[in-house]
Amino acid sequence: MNTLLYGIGNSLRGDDGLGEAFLENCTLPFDKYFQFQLNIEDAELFSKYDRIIVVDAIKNIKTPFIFEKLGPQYDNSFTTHSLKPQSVLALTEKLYNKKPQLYLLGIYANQFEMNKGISPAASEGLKKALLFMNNFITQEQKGHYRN
Amino acid sequence: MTNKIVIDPVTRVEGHGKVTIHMDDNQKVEEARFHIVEFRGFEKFIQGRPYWEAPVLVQRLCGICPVSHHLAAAKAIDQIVGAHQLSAVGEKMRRLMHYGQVLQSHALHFFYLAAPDLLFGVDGPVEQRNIVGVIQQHKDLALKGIKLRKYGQEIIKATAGKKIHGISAVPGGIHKNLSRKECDLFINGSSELASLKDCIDWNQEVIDFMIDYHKKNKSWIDSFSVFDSNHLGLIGEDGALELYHGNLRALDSKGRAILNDIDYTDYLDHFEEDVKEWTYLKFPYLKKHGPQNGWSRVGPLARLNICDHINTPLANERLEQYRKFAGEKIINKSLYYHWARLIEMLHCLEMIETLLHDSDLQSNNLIVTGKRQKTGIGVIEAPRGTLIHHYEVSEKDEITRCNLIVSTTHNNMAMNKAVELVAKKSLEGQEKISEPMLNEIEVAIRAYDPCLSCATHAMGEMPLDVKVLDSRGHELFGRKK
Repeated sequence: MNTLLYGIGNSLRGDDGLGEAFLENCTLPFDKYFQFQLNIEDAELFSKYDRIIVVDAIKNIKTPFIFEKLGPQYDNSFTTHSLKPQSVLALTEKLYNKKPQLYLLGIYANQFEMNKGISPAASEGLKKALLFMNNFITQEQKGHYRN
Repeated sequence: MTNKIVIDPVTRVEGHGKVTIHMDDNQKVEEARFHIVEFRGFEKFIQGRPYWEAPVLVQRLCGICPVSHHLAAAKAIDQIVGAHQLSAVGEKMRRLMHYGQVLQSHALHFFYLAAPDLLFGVDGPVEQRNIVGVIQQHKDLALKGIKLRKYGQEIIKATAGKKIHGISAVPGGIHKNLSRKECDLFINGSSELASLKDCIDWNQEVIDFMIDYHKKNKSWIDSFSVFDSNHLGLIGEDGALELYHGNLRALDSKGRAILNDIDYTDYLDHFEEDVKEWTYLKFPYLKKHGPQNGWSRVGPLARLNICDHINTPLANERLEQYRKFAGEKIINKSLYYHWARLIEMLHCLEMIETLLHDSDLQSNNLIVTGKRQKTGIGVIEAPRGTLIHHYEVSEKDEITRCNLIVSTTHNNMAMNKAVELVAKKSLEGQEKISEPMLNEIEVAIRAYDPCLSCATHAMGEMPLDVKVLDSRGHELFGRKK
């Protein structure tokens, strides 16, 4: 499956660098793309893939990471500083008539100070998320997962 | 007793701000203010850092126009290292980056932020007045907008190394050139990228749309948020529109020169900044004219007002058409910002075309140096207007002082004036305040395309709000997004 790993965040802001760190450490043979934030033109990028896995730092979760499938959702409160993956997916469908699968891999984050690096708790989540993703893809290739 | 209306946050602008309007018992506007409530920090934050970090660090105060900060800081740091004249490739690569930045920023503002008001009306259904509504109802226009913005972003990526927070402008020059193959890709396009010709054609189509819009809405545009002001910006030696490097010119509302093409390194002799306790945004003004009369509008409207001509043919033709339509050289009508922005996009595309055909871009003479100095001042015309970076550096190469006067700051007084005028016109005497009435106030602010994160040099999250309060400060109406 033609898959894109899309990392989001700012590596200068502590755990916000998890998206980029995940891409740097992930050895899966997927295309990788990193940005500070999602943009409307990413709808075009999404349209070129069968599956997009968005990797981002997430506050307020009780597990080291979450992995969930997302559906299209229009968001009328658009600002250029904030765009949800679901909104980009909705735009992909509307503008390019493509319906790729979209997943969010959210990794636990709790500190966003300048130049602090990734916190120990977030690093632990990162390791587990990398392991999970490797296993997920391996199992998928064996045909154990169906979308 | 007065009532207070609060719009919090103002939407479809870059960053977070708030509008408060105090109404008296007779439903008259007593006071209207546009507040910026973000934390201001980068001028302090940068102190103690080595000077060569400034172009990379300071741009991080914004994710929308970082290239402008990257280049303004680089221009200032060029002076610190004594590089008063860059190599041809250094200057031209930076210019190419800058035109890409202005193109993508203006495209973002027009298609994503302003178009919903223009296409659906200020009082159109609120659920439609956003980019999603534009995409649903005007798919072709939206696709062109996306491709135009992408074109600018890809130019930035090719010249700066990254779409956001690039790294290529270094003290005394640039750390990379552009291959002939890369230039040809931008000229001819690919399956992933529009061709330059397509971009120019689309830009022309949008200008035609704008002219049609002005014809259909002339009476509204000519009476909405119209007020006299000075106009400030960089200017080329021959009086041409200049976005990257030139002297500073200011004209008053009638076109009389009040700042006569000065060297921008002398800016401290001419400018001061006023402060108010209710906003983090300062109020720059020309010393000679004082805080009440010395403030200026900046950005596309001001730039087209102060220039004598544009040195690219298609944009110059559009400038003449624009002035002829308005019937005046100095335009003091806020909604003309949108049209001016589109003309500047066309100018950028023409400049990009010229540069892409220039073999200097393949030169390897990337960096020059000279005699070390303690002070560096860089000025550039950012998408939103005149941007000033000023650094003082110690013998240990540490930045000891940083002063940033950003575009939105220059427009602070103008935006407050716009809010006051529109509030008086739309809200006074109304028994009930409706959403479209409040949107009119936002439309007035949006015309200036303020970048509030830049304006306060913010670090952190950013919201923008509108409120109406009574005389005791109780909130009567508000909206927050």
